[in-house]
Amino acid sequence: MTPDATDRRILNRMQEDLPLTAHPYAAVAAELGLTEDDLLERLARMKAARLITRFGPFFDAAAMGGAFCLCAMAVPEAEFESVLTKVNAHPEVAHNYERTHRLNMWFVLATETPQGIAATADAIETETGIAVLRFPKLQEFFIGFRVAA
Amino acid sequence: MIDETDRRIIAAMQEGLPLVPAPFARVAADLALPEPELM
Repeated sequence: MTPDATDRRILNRMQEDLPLTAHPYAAVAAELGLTEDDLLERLARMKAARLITRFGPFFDAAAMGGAFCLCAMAVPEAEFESVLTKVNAHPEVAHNYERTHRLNMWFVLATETPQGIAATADAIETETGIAVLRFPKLQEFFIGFRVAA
Repeated sequence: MIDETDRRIIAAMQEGLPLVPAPFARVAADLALPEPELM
């Protein structure tokens, strides 16, 4: 689908906070001069079309006492799919990207405890026989990332 | 830091917020929590 001007206004507005009120969509719809039904229907359509992959709160595992760690692996091309399946079987893997580099698989681990990073990365190494390079976060920068639709 | 109820709320909202007029009431009902407590 191609988003129209109203869809784009919705996408831009929805990257900001949603009010923590009983009828948050009604509040946003009123701001945008739309009906609540129209807003919900457009959001549902954009979600079905995967223009929106997920709509909801972001959680900060570190703030809850957990940890994040960027990881990379050098996976032989022939094994890529089977390694991918093994890596993605771990619920701690937040997202996983193939890249054109000797280190061709990059993902983030998010775990409930700081020790969970090593435990999960070690488990992946054991299962795949491939080293999991770990790039722990030193400092977090909140950049207010937005995509203009 | 976070208690058992917080954990249930986080788990229930991982998939995202329901696209219904009263999304927090829906999540609260699924968790058998009063909506004001969830909010």
